Amino acid sequence: MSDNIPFDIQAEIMKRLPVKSLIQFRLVSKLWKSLIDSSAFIAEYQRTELQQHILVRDGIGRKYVSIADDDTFPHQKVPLAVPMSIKTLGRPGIIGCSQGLFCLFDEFGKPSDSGKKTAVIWNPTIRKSVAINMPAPSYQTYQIVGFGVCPDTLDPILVNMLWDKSETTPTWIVDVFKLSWGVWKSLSVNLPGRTIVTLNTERVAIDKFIYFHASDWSSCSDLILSFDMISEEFTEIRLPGTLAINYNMQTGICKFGESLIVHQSEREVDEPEYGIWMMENGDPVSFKKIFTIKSNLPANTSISGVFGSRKSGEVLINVKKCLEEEEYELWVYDPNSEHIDYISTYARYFSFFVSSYTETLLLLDR
Amino acid sequence: MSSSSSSKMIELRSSDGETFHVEETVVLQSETIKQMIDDDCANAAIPLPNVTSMTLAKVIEYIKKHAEKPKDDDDKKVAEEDLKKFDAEFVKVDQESMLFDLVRAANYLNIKSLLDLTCQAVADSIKDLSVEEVRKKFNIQNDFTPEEEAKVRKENAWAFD
Repeated sequence: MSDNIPFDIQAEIMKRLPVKSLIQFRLVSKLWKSLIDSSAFIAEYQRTELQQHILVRDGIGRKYVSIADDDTFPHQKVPLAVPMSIKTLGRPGIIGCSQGLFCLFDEFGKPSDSGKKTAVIWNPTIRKSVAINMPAPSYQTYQIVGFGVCPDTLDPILVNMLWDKSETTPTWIVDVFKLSWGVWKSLSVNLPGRTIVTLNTERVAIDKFIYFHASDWSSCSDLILSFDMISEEFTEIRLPGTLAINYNMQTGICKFGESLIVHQSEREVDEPEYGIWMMENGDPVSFKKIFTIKSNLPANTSISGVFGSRKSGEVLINVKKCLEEEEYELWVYDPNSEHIDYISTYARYFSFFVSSYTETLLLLDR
Repeated sequence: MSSSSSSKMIELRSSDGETFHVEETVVLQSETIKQMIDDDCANAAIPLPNVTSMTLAKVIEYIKKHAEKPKDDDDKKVAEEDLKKFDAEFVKVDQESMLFDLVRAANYLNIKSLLDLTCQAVADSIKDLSVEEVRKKFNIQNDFTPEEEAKVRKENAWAFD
């Protein structure tokens, strides 16, 4: 070669490498290492077209597998090394996934003898994790936690919501944690309404919002509670018509590409169809039915949930198989061809979890 | 703008003195040349002292292909597929030094899509190399002491399995 590639072009090339190569190439030179480790590079890398994967946790809640979400799908599977910090959590729920980071926490677990509860933020790609001390609830409170990574600052954020039932008029107590602060801060304004109860464990981080599936007991209607990670404000998103009130239907939320979807299926039927509604531009008025997943499955199997989507737009679905005992399987549904495909069997129990995620360098500088 | 074939021609001169005539609409993909034209510095041949004739010919082949405009939407899909194929073939060069020359030229001429394409091609070609091979490729001296190197390796031992 006649002359060398200037460093600024080397940096352009580095930005396009997969995470594993970057971690190895920290050894190339001190200059390469300091660039790759810099928060500016980590942030810039986040804005490039990141490699996508699907994380699958088996039903026992111990094993995590990553499937490359590219042309090879679903053949390139690798088991993920689970850090000790997660193993010590027992059987945590996966609170959320945002910008390639996962948050794990056992909302129903008891505090340790020292009165502590711990959550873990995990980057499976670079095998790094950070443990966070959580506010422990008293026995009369109900705890729900939201997780997201602020798209502007790339700061991981936890929202701890305690529903205090001990008072005659129960209220929400909300604390916010940002990894850059390292401490919890209580929120005193713009709290969720007193009639709002978050439902089950569904919450989704998209862009600067963490969405919680919730219910308003004063009107018995479903709604979505959103938390803005920048302004630290809650907003109630009212769902239109039959999505809000329909006692024969089961409703849930998940992330589809970069949009929020609401899925709804009929309760207590053998082969339920799943209607998929999408919210466009963060505007609840524009909730629109985009397609219906029709069952078309073999005998004794039925759809029991929607996990999210692949990069290609195929839907990742949870399929229940009722033979001698119940088994859960991961299938993908192509909304264009209406074709449905079996991927794998993972689960006998309910901690079966599937989420798409991107490779990221976040937490490398921790 | 007129769509006639009599678009204004711009003359480019490579480092080894060869001249190329390219339509202005095509050459405007280069931000560097666009700036020169906007500054009225393009009345004579534009000298490109950092780009050899061999590299410049390749660059022109690229920007010409990327300047083609599809007529309608159906055409657009076909054209997009065609362009994808062209790009994939374009970076399959015999000599690696040519790819590096193209990266440098894309950077100097400030043609973003070509810089993206060629940097990605280099990244794809080095991602599975060893650290030593990468140093050799970019002519980089290892400035870590053995102790420092062992420490960095240990920080993420999993990546070296």
